Amino acid sequence: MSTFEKIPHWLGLLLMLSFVAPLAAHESPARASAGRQKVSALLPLAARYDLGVADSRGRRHADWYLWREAGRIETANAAAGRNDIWERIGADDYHYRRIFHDDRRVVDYTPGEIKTRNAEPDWAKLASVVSPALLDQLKRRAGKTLFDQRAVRYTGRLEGQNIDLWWLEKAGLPARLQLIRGHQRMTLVLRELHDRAPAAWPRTSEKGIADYGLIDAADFGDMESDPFVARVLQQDGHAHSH
Amino acid sequence: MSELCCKAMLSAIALACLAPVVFSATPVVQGPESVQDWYDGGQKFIAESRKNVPNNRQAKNVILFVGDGMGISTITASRILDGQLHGKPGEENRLSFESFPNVGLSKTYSWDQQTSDSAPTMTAMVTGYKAREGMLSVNHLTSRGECDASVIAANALPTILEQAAAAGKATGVVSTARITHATPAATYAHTAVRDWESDSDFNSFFADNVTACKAAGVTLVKDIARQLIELSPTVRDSLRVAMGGGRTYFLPKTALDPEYGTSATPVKGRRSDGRDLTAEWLGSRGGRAAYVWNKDQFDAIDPANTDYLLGLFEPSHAQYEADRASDKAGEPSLTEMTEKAIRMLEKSRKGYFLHVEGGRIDHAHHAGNAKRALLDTIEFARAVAKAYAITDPNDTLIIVTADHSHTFTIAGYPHRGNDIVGLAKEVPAVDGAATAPTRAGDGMPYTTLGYQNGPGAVAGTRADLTSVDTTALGYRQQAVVPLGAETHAGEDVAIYATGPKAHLVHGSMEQNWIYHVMREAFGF
Repeated sequence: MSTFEKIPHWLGLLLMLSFVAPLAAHESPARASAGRQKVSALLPLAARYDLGVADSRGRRHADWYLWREAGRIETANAAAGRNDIWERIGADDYHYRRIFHDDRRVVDYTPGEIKTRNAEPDWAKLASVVSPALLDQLKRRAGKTLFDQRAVRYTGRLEGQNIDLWWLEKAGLPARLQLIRGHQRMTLVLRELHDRAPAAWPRTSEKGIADYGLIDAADFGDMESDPFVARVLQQDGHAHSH
Repeated sequence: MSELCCKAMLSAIALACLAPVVFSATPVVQGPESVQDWYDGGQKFIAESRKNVPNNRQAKNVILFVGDGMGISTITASRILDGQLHGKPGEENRLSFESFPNVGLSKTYSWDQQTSDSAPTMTAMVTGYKAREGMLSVNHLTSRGECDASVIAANALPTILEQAAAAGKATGVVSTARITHATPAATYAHTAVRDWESDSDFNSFFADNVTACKAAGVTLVKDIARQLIELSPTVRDSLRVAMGGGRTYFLPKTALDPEYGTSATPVKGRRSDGRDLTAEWLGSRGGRAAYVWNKDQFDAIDPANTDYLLGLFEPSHAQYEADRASDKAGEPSLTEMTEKAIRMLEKSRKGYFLHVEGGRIDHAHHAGNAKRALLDTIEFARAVAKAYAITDPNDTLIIVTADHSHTFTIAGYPHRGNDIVGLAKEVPAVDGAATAPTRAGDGMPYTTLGYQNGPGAVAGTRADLTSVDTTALGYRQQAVVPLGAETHAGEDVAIYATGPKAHLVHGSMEQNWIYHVMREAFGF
């Protein structure tokens, strides 16, 4: 598994990038409901970012992709060989799949399993990478045009992190985001933005994962002797403990 | 009299005067019982116990209920929650099977595990032999990942279901887990790898062994779903009902799931061999066979007109009882499946063997979500009550047990009637004082229920639960050791029994002795 799976967990508090963040850092139903209202008008789009992390282990960069549609959000971390797909299939029902290309495995979280893990996502955060609610807590500054639309700069310090964000108002996405905490730094820079994604982007196809092993996440507790499951459990356990 | 003595006397008088004021305050926490109730309850128990005489008749029917992961702490907490849901303090409540006359303790270690998984534990209960981790109804000489069908056949252990079939009895399997999952599968399947539930799983689990088997030209052991359909002729004729989850393990990859096949990411079958095993069930069981996948179809089944019933109500596991009402296509409860299964099987003049599993207790515990585990246990107890109500205790042995426990605890000194899923609140130190959450060493409250390990683990400063709704359905209890999934636990589990030969369940028992009790009851 790539070192990009080990993005500092504190990033998950603000972002939906960290692979466990959607399962570990959900918000209250009331807040999520507000998020749903805010995100309802967001347009379908596809975005490619450059994700950079610098910490005591050095600097790493990777392409990070987002496909946003009504009721479906998919991300891909090319360096980690990972895709994540969230679907909203009812007012409060979600379906989540974690795809591990290097292992040729798919981990499936049914709506019941997501509820059991108390992990209903903040859909607004999933759709916008950064929770729109975060903007209210930052200082709004000057704007300019980026990607043919208005971008506004927001800065501030939250939960020990210095935040510098350029926010695309129409797209509801960050054009550039920098988070700094101590000696850790993460940057997310938008490189491409499309109404429809280029065909070459690494979006999951049903055909492409048809032969992957499919694991119901409810079975994790009974599959600890499987090397793949043991590795995922170890990572999830580590993430949840911090 | 000295001045000192007078002062002492005055102080004593003053204290005596004050004392009635202090001690007459009404306790805020009170049970509903009178003093006499406690004595009368004990006498009633003795009087009823005197009537208990061993039933040495041969059992016509045996029903084996297994609450997956239903350790004793789970039973205790479920009984309290069930009582509290009925407006009682809860502690005095009894789940249906807790009134059975015979109880024993089951030692759940397996041949190679101190704390076991469901495969060897269920193997022990249905074959009489302790076995290896992850293996279903094969002896402990079987190699890990063994895929040679001839070796599996040589090491296969006959199950009580297969022996009942050989005796001409009808048989059935019901679960809220996948019907191919370890516990139900151990009754009808023989394999070294519990995860080989569909043929596609050969590519994911012990794949190197499978490749080697294929290269050597040996016949591969069948996947578990296929084993359910391709039973020996005797067992195939006998197995009248199989209901649970796991639909996609029976459908080809080209088939869309009937319930979830139209979503943005459609659910499809899992089978790589292109076979539709649900169709094969119908094709191989005669004209009065049925396959159902939703509640309406289930309700429409008339046992009088149906000889063989396959019910697969979800692509994977069935819904938790707490979520069942919101299922898209609707699915029957464990109680409803149990009743339908008994109605199917009771047509057999020679009797029947039925296994019923409450399979999702275990999953909710693994997720660290106690409330769902307890609600599934309560539903499991309802299923037992239904089975007891519609069978004859003179000819039907009912055994209720668990395969293993979980690291689930009921801790602190909560007062009588304290919300079992709430914060621990002690009996106030002074009568009349109000209850308040007990503070731990870190100055913060804690829940009565908790786990030794699992996803609820906290590192560093523990979250302050003062304003957290720990009674919410999705709340995950705090834990100590951080693990992505909470684990099984190794202490004994309980065995409850009623009916013919139920008195053979007593004391401390090895888990595999449960099989021997059932065999003795059947008279095989």
